[in-house]
Amino acid sequence: MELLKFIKKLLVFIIPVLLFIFILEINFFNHRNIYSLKKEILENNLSKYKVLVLGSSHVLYGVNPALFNESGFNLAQPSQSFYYDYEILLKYIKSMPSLRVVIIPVSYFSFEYDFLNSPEYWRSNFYKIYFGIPDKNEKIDFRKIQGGFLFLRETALLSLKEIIKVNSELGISDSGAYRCKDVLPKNIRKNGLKRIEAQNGIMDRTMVGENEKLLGEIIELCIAANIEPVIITTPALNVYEENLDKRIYLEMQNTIAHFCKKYNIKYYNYMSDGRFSVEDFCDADHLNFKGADKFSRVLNQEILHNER
Amino acid sequence: MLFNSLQFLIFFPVVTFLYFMLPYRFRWFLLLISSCIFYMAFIPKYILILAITIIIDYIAGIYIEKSNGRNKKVFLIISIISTCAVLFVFKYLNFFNSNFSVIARFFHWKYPIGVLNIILPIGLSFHTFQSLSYVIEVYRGNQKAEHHFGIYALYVMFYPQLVAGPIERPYSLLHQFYEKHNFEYRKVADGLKLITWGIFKKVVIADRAAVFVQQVYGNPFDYHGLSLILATIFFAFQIYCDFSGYSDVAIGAAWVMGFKLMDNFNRPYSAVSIAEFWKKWHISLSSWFRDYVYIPLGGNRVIKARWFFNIFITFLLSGLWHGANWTFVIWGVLNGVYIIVGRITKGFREKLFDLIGLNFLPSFRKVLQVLGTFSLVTFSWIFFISKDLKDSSYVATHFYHGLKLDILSLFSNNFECILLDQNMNNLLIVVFSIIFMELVHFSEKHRSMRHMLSDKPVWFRWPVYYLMFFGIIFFGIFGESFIYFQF
Repeated sequence: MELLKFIKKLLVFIIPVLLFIFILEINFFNHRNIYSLKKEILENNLSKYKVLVLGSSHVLYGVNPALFNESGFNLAQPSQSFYYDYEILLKYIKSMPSLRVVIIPVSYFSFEYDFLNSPEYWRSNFYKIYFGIPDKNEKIDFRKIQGGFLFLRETALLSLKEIIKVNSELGISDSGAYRCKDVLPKNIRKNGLKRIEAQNGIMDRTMVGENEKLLGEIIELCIAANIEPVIITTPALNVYEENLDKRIYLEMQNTIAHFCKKYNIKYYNYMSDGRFSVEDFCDADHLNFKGADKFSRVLNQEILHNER
Repeated sequence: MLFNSLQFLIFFPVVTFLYFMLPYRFRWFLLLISSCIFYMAFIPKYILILAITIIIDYIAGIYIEKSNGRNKKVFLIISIISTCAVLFVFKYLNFFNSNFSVIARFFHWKYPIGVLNIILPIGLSFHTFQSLSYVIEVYRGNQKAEHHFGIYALYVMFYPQLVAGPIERPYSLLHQFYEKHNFEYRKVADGLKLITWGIFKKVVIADRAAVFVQQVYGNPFDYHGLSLILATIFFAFQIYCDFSGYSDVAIGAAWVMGFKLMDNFNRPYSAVSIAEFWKKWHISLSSWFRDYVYIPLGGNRVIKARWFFNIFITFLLSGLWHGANWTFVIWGVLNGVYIIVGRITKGFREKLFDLIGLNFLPSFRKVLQVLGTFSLVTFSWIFFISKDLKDSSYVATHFYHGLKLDILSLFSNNFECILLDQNMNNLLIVVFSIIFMELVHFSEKHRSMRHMLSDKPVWFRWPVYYLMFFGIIFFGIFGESFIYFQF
């Protein structure tokens, strides 16, 4: 009797909660977000693009293909790993007859990046829903089955003000770039150290083999389709570069050199490029919109038109 | 397995459901297996260490009861030494080792022992003390030795209180494992309310305040004045909400199954003196030190100098229990000094209050005493949270640096010194949730909020429950471990 009373009251309590969360989640998934938006733009212009930019937030913030002389698209996403770079490229490469160059960014953390065990793992759900890319590791993780916290809890709450609508485009331009404001943190040194600490936290040496294999597959996919793959490393502030783990950075450089030699491709390392100053950044390793425009012009000149 | 995790969200209802479905005679076994699973979710192989200490104390308890005279004491000493040896090796060896190494370097001696790479087993300090209280009470004749090995193991490993207390006494907990607990709606509802309140304190208040605290105490030399003050006050609430939140979940989870665990906190920041604070903070630990250290040393039934010495030693050991670092020792000693000075100046303070007429304004006097106690306690937390003595002495001496400018900047809408690179929403959530919690505490002077709510109609109660629930979902930070797990 007591058990039945408890179950009844629990159901009466929990069902409205679950219903509310369910409606909120459906709403989030049905609204535009960074994944659905980029998919839509990409698929509407597949035949047009001559340049594709893969990668993570370094490139999402840092490359504005609208400034290329040729039509390009920024397919980068926050925390995107080589696995998703490869799978997205594989999905669309055959449908892009005009594609000439694929820019593959490699960051300090890329070869040891352990996406599945990182705090960003919840993004795997969005790749699955919008790009049909399977989750490599089917762990029980609450973050996989929710989208309401994709844009921070505060935004989720603010969205309730607009009758559960979400403004989720986050400043993504038509060419796929995110336009970051030119507001630097007060203590840039601390920010640099924090960024490296965060990246060290998502790195695992046991991932090197797998990530190297994926990079190789991306390059081979491009070469097989007669597309030029180009590896780049985006600019960063001195404070970031000075505090990297030198061993990891050296290994990253050696690995890239090996790939360049093996596949006869080019690597452009802009990490300590003197053309970029503190005014071009919004934090220690992300360019703001001014820096992104500057960097995009540099890429256009040096990579797309080989004028280095 | 953290209480604020998806795994526990599944583990707890499954275990509770099975507990009530099973016949009484098998329930201890279910709880024991569940507790093993709970413990092994951290570092599985460390369950062997727990098993060894359980076996030693189980056997010791039986032999202590069987023996007489000198042999009784011998078995007690063997048990205490072996239990404490495990604690010493895993928790204190590196600390003493590095200090001996410093002394050796000073005298230019050769010191060959390097730092050992040891991870502290989770909850070691807690279940060590719980085991010690068992053998001591058997020795004193207050507790019969437990002959059922499974029940004794369960006493040490009972999962709600396994890793961070409350530290139970054998005469309170052991007999409960023999009692038949039926499903009682009232207990289950009460327990779940307490769990919800505990989770709210942990994920909404503690873990959000932690962001500010870590920002400052991660590198205190970058801060001064109001930033240091804010971070320290936030830490006072972080550690309270973290630890009392854990205790609430532990007590609530046990109560759902019909087990009564001791209260571990009783609105400690409402204390009017440090002595009262220690009767309200981490009650299970402070009462353990009172019963097994302070009173055996003579307590206050000795000459004054010896009384103060007893207080000093008790708090020094309490500080050391919390961690193998001089900062914890200083924190403990500071609290001991507070109590000693409080005792010495008690008469003087009463005369002073009389002189300035405070005794005619008892409420105002109480407010001053509460604020004064809170300030002293918060100051001592500097040593608790700091990485080392260098950090703690910097913080302690830089509260007033630039304070005037910081306050003036607030009036000109520049909140940088209190935002600490966070957004205003985060700060407001922390502040308002602390205010909310303190209002709840204020109303709980004579009765807990849960019991007061039970008397209210559904249209009042359920919105409160939904407020808590959605507060946790929308404002909670998940995945952070509990501070006291490191002890």
